[in-house]
Amino acid sequence: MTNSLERIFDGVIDALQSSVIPAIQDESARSQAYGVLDMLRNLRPRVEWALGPLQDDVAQQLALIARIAGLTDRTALAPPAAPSDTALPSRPTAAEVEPMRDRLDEYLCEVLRWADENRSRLPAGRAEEIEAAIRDQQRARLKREVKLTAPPLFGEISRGQ
Amino acid sequence: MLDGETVTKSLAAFLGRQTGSEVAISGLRRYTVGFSWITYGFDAAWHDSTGARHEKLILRLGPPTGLFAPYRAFPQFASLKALEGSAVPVPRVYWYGEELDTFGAPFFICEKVEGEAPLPWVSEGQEAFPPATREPLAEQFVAALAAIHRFEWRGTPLETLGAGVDEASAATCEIAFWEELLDRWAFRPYPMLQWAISWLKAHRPVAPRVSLVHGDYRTGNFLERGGRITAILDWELVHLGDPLEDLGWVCMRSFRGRSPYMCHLIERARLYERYEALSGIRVDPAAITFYEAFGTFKLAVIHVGAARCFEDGRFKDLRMAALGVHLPRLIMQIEGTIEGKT
Repeated sequence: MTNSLERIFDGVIDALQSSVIPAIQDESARSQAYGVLDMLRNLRPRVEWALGPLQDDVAQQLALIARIAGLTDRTALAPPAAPSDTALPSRPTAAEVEPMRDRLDEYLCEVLRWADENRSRLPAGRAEEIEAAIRDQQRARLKREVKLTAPPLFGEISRGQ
Repeated sequence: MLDGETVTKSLAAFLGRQTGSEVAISGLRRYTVGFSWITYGFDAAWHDSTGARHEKLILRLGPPTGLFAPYRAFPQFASLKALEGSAVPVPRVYWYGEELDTFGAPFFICEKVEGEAPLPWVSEGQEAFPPATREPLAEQFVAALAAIHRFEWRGTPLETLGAGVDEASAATCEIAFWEELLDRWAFRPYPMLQWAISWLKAHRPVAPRVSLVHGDYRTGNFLERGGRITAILDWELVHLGDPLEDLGWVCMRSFRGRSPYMCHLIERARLYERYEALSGIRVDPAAITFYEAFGTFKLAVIHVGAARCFEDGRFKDLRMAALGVHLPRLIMQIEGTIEGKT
């Protein structure tokens, strides 16, 4: 998901309250919509992103960073320094793991920029090897996300029908 | 943003000043299409030296909170004005303004062209058009694109749309433009997009010429009535650049799903053949692959921007968040396009 959970909840609640419910003419349908609104307002403080996939992401990123270190340890050029503050609480929340995942992604972006800029100075094929390792890890994550994503309703969203 | 009553009053006042007559506005309707500019249809009635006038018109506003804000109306207005009377079917434009005191946003007003906008999204396995409709539409679709790219923009106000762009720099300029937007909009890092930027920079083609480029040429952005394309719409991303950029956009997976027809209209080989014949511009398949990948990258950046717009609360439209949900699919499509897997 691209947006934060808080903003999605707030946005859905606001859309229901300010756009959808006032336009519903049928009383029965309107009472159902109020039911949805009530449920969303009560779910909001009780819900967070699933922790498992976030922890998996971080574990895979750390393994990847170790692999990148292996690919670059005998090169004359030093890659960007890896983040050192990667420890998480023993029972972390999603709100603690998510920023860690993003910090590690930022590091992977730095490595990609470094590999690209130094392609000709690195041993032959090494930049491509680093890129392939990062792409493999990212692709696995994207595939999982796509699997979780419902087919888009772009036609209905555009037409409003 | 303005409510309907305020838009109606502002329209009456603005058109009154332009026509020198009292103008009655009726039937104001906001269209749901589009995620960026806001579109209203309305009827305007007034009297001038020729007698009673009654026009169906469109008002387009670039909202200060919108995706690509701050907006300018000039590029769209100037492009439509320049193309008036050419082989490209476009709505006739009448007025535009960049100032905010009329509608609170840059705007332009044009004629309302009759027709429906077929959308590029159909259920998987379904055909968007039956063959008898598709084939003539496809020919017109390619002919209009070729006419845009053949259009002689030099010596017109369109020269200002891409100052300094030449054949060698066209792709570089576009990559830089969209990379800068990604930097501005992303609220988390995307390693796969970072890799895509490196790939695009390493594979940028030299343009066969510098043309007027529509920037969002696809099914969904033209009107059709009775088998005839009546208008090419949504010139928001118009610029000067490589004509093959538009052709790559037409070929993107996002606008055809698994259909063998680009934009649900025409098979790839036939598209290239007709485009070359009508435009006189040779199609380099490697350049099209580049621009399909670049277009998918651009679409991914737009999705990031939409999510950002929503996250910041600048735009409450929930459709923005819905776009953001589908970002992973698009990012995978960039890689798939580069590797020839689409």
